[in-house]
Amino acid sequence: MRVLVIEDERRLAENVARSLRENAGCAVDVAINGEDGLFMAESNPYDLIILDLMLPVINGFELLKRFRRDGHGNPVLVLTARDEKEWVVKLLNAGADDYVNKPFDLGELIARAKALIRRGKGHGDAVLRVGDMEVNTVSHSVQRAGREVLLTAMEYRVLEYLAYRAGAVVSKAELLEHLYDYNWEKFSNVIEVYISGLRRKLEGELSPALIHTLRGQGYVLRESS
Amino acid sequence: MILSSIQKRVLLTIVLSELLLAAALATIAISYTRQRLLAAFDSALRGRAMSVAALVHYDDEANSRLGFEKSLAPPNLESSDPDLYRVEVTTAGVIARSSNWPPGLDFAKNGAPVKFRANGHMYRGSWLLDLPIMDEDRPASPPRISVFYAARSNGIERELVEATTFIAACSAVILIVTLGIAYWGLRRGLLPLRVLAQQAAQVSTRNWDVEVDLARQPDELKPLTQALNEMLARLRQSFVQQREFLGNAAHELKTPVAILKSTLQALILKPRSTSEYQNGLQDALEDLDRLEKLLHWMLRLARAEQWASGSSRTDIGVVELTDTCEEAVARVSGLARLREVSVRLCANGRSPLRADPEDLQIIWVNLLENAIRYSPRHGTVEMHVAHVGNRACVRVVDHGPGIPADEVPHIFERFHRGDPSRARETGGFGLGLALAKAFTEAYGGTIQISSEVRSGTSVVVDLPLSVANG
Repeated sequence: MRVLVIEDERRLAENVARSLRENAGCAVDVAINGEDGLFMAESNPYDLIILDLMLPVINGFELLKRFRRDGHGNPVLVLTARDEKEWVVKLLNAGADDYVNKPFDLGELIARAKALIRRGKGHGDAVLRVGDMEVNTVSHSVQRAGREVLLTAMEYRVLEYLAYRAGAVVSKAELLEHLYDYNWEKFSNVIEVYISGLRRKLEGELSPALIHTLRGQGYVLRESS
Repeated sequence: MILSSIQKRVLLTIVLSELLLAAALATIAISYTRQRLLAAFDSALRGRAMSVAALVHYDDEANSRLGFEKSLAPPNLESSDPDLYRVEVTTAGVIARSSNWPPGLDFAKNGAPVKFRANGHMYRGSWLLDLPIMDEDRPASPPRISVFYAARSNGIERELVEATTFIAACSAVILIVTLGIAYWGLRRGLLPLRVLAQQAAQVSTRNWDVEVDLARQPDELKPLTQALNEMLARLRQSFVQQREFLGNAAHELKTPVAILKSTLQALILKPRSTSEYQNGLQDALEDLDRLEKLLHWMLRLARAEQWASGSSRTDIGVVELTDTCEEAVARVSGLARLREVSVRLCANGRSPLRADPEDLQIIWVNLLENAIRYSPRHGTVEMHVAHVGNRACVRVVDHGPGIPADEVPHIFERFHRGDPSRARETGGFGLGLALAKAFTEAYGGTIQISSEVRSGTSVVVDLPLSVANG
């Protein structure tokens, strides 16, 4: 999953980004002002945007309104220092999906972030099921036919994304966009390495194939028919 | 105790002055009445004495013996009548006296009326002296008659007592009526005072107005009401300022606290190596430093704003304005080099000023840092120090992009986000320009900003020098 953090306090942005990377397995980009933030939010398909309101150049509230006006539906989680009811209502009405008050609890922020990502993908349960495979998005563990499958962090992220989009064709470009932040170099063949790693671990003589390749289009995660 | 109430004091004054007035009036009226009564009494006495004198005649023409025709005496000289008289003639001595004349009673012969006690009553009488008897035969020296006549004077006293009683009764009625009117008038007159007190009692942190119709207030209360309203306005301003500051402060503390909290939480969300913990704690300490700095600047700002609103400052010496500017330019030289901006200082003459040099530094450094941040690469920031009369004028000019007109009014607000000084010197909390303004005003000066988009910004600080020159 790829998350954008728009926050002008660098240390806070770093801490949030770090926790999302370490504890939610997300790729995280950081913007330190409203202008950059809006540009980045509109030019990448973020699975979640974490937005601070007190921003230089374009303030967070204005950014949110413009972002929504431009027709983007990405989940937005707002960080605010104000907690008056009227303000919260105004925020939610302007298109925010959720908010946390400063000073917030990082654990709570991560849980809310995950919930918003889940909702954004149209899921309610934190455990994603495809056939006899279960992907637990909270503990980041995977089971196939009741048996624990050990994956590397990157393999897990690829599988989690495919599981969220189970049944749909996911192109390599889409995978790259959602799994890597700006700081990572994008080599398309890296995806193929992860896919083959996943196939080796998930699919055996007894287990039917789950990840299917559609040549020239991408990958589909679904039960073999 | 009774004097603690204006109403009672006024009523007491009215009672006392009315009593005094009544007493004076009574004295005058009674003494005048008495005099008139006595004059009337005396002339009545004289009349009666005359008629007594008319009873003297010659008994015997040849001997020129004088006699007294008692039978012709008026009825009030009957023996039952209380009046006293005595008739003397120069040639023959006492020729007649009333029957009730007490033995041994005699009076010196002069015109003055006499008061005396006889037969158990108060009498008033006087001599009618030396009346000549008309005698055609001896016109040269006729015998002369003197008559002493006295009557009871109880009547006068009774009338005086009556007059006194009447005056006292009238005074009492007037006093009671006046007191009633005065009491009613005072209650009515003091009503606005009670209304004012009620209104003043309603004043709270939510309601700052004493709602009194000034036009309908008595003139005496207007200065009080006005003073009250002015005092409340000042209190309100400082209260609002304090509350705003508290609100801002609480709000602004949330971000640094959030940073510190997130740093520590990021550290404990998963197990880490010793060096990671060490780095994390180092970060947390830095966050704490920032928090501390914010508190420091907020307190400094609060103090400056307190001074600016009139509190007096003590123990500050005289400093040279140009020196503090030079020092400030030196302090920002690092930033200027980094941004490749040159800073020029132009000063004319000396400008001694009574101030804390550190306060002035805060003003200059903040203005210079802003100017440098707004300046394009290889740009120039100018600082002009001019000395006009007893005022010093410091102008900081940059040739940057300028500030949009709609943002200019907010530029000096605390925690203003457009403030590019949100870094360095004052901790980067958006306090820089607010501090510059507060300190300028603390020294009785003014700060003004004028900006033109695409041509640059100029900030003018005007400070009075009078204290140092005096």
